[in-house]
Amino acid sequence: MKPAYARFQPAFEPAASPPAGEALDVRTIYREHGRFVWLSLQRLGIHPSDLDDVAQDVFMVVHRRLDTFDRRARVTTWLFGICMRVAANYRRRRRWSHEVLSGGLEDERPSALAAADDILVRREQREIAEMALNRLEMAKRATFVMFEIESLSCLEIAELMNVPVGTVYSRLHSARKQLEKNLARDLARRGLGNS
Amino acid sequence: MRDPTRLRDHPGGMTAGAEVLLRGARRPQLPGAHDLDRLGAAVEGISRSPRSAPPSGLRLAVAGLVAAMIAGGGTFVWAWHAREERRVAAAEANLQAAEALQKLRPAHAVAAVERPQAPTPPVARTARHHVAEAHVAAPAPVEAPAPVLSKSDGLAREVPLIDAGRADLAAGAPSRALESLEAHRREFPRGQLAAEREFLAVQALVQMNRTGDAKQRAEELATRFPSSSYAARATRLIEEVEAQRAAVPRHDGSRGTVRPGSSQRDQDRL
Repeated sequence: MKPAYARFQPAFEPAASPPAGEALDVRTIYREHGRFVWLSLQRLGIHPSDLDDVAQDVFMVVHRRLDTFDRRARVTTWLFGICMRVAANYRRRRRWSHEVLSGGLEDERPSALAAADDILVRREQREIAEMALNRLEMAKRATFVMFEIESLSCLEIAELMNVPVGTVYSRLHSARKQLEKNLARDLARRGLGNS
Repeated sequence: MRDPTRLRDHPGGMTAGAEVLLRGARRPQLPGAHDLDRLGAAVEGISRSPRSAPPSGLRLAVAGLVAAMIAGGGTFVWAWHAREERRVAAAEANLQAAEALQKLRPAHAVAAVERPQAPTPPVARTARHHVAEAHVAAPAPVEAPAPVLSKSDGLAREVPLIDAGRADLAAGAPSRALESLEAHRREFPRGQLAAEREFLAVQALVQMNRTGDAKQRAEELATRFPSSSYAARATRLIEEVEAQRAAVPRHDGSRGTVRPGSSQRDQDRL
């Protein structure tokens, strides 16, 4: 039976722990877990336009730290930890409190028939949502995205992040409270909010 | 213990905040074939690079350069000095990333023969703003051969300028972003981050509704760096802008102009 986190890698059989004695190299890890890294970075808030660069940074760290990897541990857990550290450096560098990079135009695919005001409403929603999420501490952000947006179970999230399920519940609860508070303020500033 | 109820399944409906959040938040996407090819090629290059960490002497050299940048500008006005300090701090903090970029961007790593121009004299910001606006569409000047700098040193100096441009862009100040990017273009016309600079400039020009200039710059980027992901993204950006313009009719039935990425508030800021 596949482990719960196998949902994250639809195209691959998950290699939880590599067999003892098998040589590990960055290319193998990329082949087996490249998609997982790509998804993880997005969960941690890396903007789509920066994914390629940040993913390369992750694999550079993987390459340099391979000798320190404890083979008894799960590769995906180790990789997620690296993703978190690289994403944290990225966040400090990009000054996230102001992040709305060109309104995310690169990943907007409006149909030719979409009205201009619909486009602007969607852009505003995107801006508000991303700003609110990016104010969260990264582990909470990833937990929230995985649970609420991607519909992973708390058990799956716990396995992925190598934390107890209780920690997942706690982070989710805290993220919701913080988001509720920040969103209420942001929406009120823009003249939107609960009617 | 059961999982909590998801926000979208909450009995009684979602709050306005939850609705905005779930509609607006980006759903993580799997990489496309093109993304995998590009990343795979980069990983192939990484696998051939040495595993050891960069020498500590390099960090000391960069720190020395940073110290010289701070100490040598005794005549800076306060605003310029404060901005330089922020750039210097960004350069120190990103030394490791600069090393990775150096190894992974051979297509962009033109021979490090840069002419370190004399520092731009500090000018009142408004004056520089107007000067930058007037010159932003001018072609890059041809640079004479310059003293050789190591690739690491050059890259460590380029990164803060690009970072400043990116941060200003994210803060909704595209004309200020263009100033930083033009400063980079003057000092590093063939720098290792030239492709990224040009892409950010295209974004800034789009935000300023200077679509013609943006298109020209995107075309030059594609010509100069045909295999760069930045060139492909710039081309896509221009295509989307033009598609949006074509899709929006004016009230009188003629075709209107959509200023992507900008609300009235953004336009007021510009």
